[in-house]
Amino acid sequence: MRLELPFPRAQTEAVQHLVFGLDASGPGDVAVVPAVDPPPHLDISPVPGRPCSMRLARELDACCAHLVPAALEQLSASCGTIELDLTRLEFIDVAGARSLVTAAHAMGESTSASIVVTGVNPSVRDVLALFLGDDLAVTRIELL
Amino acid sequence: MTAGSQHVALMYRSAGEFVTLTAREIHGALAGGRHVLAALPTPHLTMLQDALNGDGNQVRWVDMSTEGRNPGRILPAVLTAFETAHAGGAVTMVGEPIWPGRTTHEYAAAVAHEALINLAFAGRPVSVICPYDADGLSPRAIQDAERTHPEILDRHGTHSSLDYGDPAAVAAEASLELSRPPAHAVGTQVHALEELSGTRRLLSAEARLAGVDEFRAERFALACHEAITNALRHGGGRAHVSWWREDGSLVCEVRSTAPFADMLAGRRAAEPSAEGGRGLLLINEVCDLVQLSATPDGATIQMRMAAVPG
Repeated sequence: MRLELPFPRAQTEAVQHLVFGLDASGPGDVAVVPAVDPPPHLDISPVPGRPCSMRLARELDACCAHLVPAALEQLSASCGTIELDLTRLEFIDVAGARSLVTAAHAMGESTSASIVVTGVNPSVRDVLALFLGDDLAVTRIELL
Repeated sequence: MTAGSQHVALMYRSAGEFVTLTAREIHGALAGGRHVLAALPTPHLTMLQDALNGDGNQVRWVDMSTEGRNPGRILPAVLTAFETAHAGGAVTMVGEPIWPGRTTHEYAAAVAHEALINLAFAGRPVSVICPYDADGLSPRAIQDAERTHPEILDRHGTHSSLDYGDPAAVAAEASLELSRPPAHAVGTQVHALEELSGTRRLLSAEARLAGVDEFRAERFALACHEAITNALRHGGGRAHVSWWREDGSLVCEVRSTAPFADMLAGRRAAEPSAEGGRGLLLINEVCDLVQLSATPDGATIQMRMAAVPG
């Protein structure tokens, strides 16, 4: 079995312990692919030909969540509804989900803009559902 | 508990007594116009449903074996959720979080939960009735019930508990019953939010290697990720993370110098835009067991996910 783990180099020792370590019940036939530092977490990009759309890719977590409200605010000045394309977003955490809610609230206060989220993969949808629960209706966010 | 709310341990000595006493309380609550929820382990659920006949249709039934497997989830996802759904109305909730067969760690978490019920509903028209198997449980469990409930109900009637203790102190004491990381535990330190992603992948892989299916492994890794985020944001900029296998589960521990002042953190609802609270709620929602403990220099959280879902 080949185990590909893009873990930070700082944790190489922990990974080696994990796979080859002292836990007798651990696997003996796993090869760990050498460490590579993870790529930049979050990509924010425009969608060609769709001026009221924005694309988020890779991972939206606590490290980069503060970038989202600022980017959305720029669009909200000229757009009533903003499409947020998450097709290439692989992961979101609580801080990431909160950043979308914060942005939607801020837009609602200054304009009548709202956010339509598209291309949500099952694991991102799971986190959004866990985070937002029944509150989705009041967040000015629509999940398509 | 303060005026308005009620928290009663219902001591039964046989299945028949369980049915008689709980059914009597439920009939009374319904007759008084109260909204009623019954959260019970599986066998008791069906037993009581059969006994209530038509009145059972007016009761919200919850399987405590699954919904309350993690005692830390019971307040936010079961009890408070039911109270909120009937905002302003009087509610009676029969909840049996402790039964023979709970593991040592589940038991400790359930005692903390029972103590915190006294803080969670203080001053509101909420009545929580907790059945205890007085014959099947250990004497210690019955003593703990007397510490966590202001009132005791049994076949002879209701009386005040002489041993009722300060809820925060009892919960804090119960929360100290954590596992000690074994010698073979894997450990690492996380210093920056940029390291979250890699650490999460590591924990997800470890959970899968421990036999946890992919969906639950991803959720467990997310819970650990949230615990580390809390530690970095509110602690001294460093989270000590370690993990090991124990009794068929993967355990992940996160230690930090984050102050742990709010005993109800992770157990009370938080607005989606609120800065804190949602991470711990999510942790309680997805893990099989969560124990959160204040230490002299900060806080320690231990999260568990079983290879075989219960």
